[in-house]
Amino acid sequence: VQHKLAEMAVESLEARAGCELAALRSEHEADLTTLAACTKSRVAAAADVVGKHAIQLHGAMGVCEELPVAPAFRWLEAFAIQSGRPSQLGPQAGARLLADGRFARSAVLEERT
Amino acid sequence: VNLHLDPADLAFRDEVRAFLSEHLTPAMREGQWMTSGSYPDPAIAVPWQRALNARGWLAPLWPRELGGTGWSGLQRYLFENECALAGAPTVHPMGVRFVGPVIARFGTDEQRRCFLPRILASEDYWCQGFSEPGSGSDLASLSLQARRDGDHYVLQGSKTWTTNAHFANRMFALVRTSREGRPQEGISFLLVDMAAPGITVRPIRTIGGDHDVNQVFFDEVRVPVAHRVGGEGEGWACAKYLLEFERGAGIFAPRLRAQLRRVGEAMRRGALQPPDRLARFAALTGALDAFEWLEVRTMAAIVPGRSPGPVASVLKLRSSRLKQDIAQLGIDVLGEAALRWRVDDGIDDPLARFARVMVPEYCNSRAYTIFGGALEIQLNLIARTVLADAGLRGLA
Repeated sequence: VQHKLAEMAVESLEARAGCELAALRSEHEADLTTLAACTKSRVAAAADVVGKHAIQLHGAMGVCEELPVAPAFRWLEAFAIQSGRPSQLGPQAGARLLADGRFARSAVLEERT
Repeated sequence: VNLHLDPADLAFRDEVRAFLSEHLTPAMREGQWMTSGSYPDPAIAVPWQRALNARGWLAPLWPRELGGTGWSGLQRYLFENECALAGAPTVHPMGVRFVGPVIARFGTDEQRRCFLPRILASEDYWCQGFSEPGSGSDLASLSLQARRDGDHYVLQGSKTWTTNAHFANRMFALVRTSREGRPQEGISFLLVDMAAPGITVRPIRTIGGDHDVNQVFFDEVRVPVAHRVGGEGEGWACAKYLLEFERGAGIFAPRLRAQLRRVGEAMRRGALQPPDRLARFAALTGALDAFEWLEVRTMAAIVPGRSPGPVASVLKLRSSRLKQDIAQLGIDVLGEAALRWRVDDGIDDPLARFARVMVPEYCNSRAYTIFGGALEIQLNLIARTVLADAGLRGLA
C-alpha cells in the first residue's frame, strides 16, 4: 500500500515538472503542438496511475460518491480524453520529433534563439 | 531557476564544447557507443580521463585545493550534458566520485598524498567492496572478517557484485573488525591492494553477456593498518558519506538522452514506424524532458556533491525506469533483428551494430531497479517522506 502511495507521488512530481517546463518553453517554442502533445502524454500517464491507485487505496469507499476520490477519478479521465488521448496525439508528435531531431537535445539547456 | 543561461554559463558551455571537439576522438566515441555494460572498458575510458585531468576537469566534486573545479551545480550539469551528448566515455566513478571524496574528507595526510594523485592520473583503478553474499540491501550485516595482527589486518571472506574488479588494482572495502555493539559500529573502511596474495577474482556472467561484475574471495589477505580510512569501527561514517556521492551526485538525464538518441536514430533509419511506436516515442521524450527539468532544478539548488535529500530517491527510481523504457523501445524497433544479436556473420551495417549493443543493454537495464538501492527501498523512502509531510512538500 505504501508503495502505491509512493508511485503516485513520483508520478505527480514528474508530471508537475513536465508542466512547469512546458510553460517555460512555451514562450519561445515554435512547435507548440508537439510540445503540448509530449507533455500531455506524460501528464495523462501520471493521471492514470494516480486515479486508479487512489481508488484501490480506498477499497470500496474509493468508488462511492461520499469521498472526493470518485469525482477526482472522473475528472482525471476527462482530462485524459479532452483534446485527444496520448494514443491519438502521439503518432504525429513522434513523427515530428524524429523529423526535427529535437529529441536528441537537452530540453532544458538549449540556447534560446 | 529558469531556462535562461546567463552569459557566463554560455561561455562555460562553449569552453566545454571546444575541449570536446579537440580531445574526444572517434575511437572513444565508438567505444562508448558500443558499451552496453555499466562503464566502458579502461582502454576506452582511461585516455579520456587523462585528457580531462590534463585540463583539471576530472574531479569536479573534490575540494579545490586537492584538484576539484569549484563548479556550481548548473555548471556541473552543463558539463555532464555536453560530454554525454558528444558521446564521451563515462568516467569510471569508483575512484573519482566514490573513494576520492572519502579519502579527501577522512583520510590522513599520508593517504591523501599517496592515493589522490594516483586517482587523478588514472594510475589506480578502483572497485567497490561493499555487497557480500548475504548482505546486499542490508549492508550493515556484512561479515567479511578483518582480524588484527600487529600492524596488519588479515581478511577472510568474500565480496560480490563487484563491478570491474577484474580491471581494478585497488578496492575500497567495508570489513568487520568487531562483532560488539550495533552492527554498524564494528565496520571499518580499508584500502586494499588487489595484487595482495590470497585475493581471487571470479567473474559472474550476467544476463546481457557482458563481464561486468565479479565475486572476490579473500583468503588470509594482509592489509596494512595504515590503509584504514577513519578510525577502527568508524567505517560506517565513511560509507554513508560515500553513498551520499553515489546517490546524490549522479546526473542521469544526459546519458538517458544519449540513449534515447541512439534509439531515435535507429527509428529514423528504419522503415515507416507504426503509429503506436511513434506515440510511445513521443511519450518517452515528454517523460525524459520532465525528468530532466526535475533533475536540473534539483542539482541547481544544492551544493554539488551533497545529497539533495529524499528527492534523490525519486531521481534514482525514475532514471532507472526511463532507462528500462528506452531500452524496451529500442528492442521493439529492432523487431526480429534483435534475435540475431550474437550472430557474427561479418555484417557490420548500422542495424547489426544497433542490435549488438541494444539487446544486451535491454537485458542489463533490468538490473537498474536492483543495484544502488533497489526500487522497493526507494519506494519505502519516498512513502516515508510523503506520509510524514502528508504530501509532496518533502520531495519538491
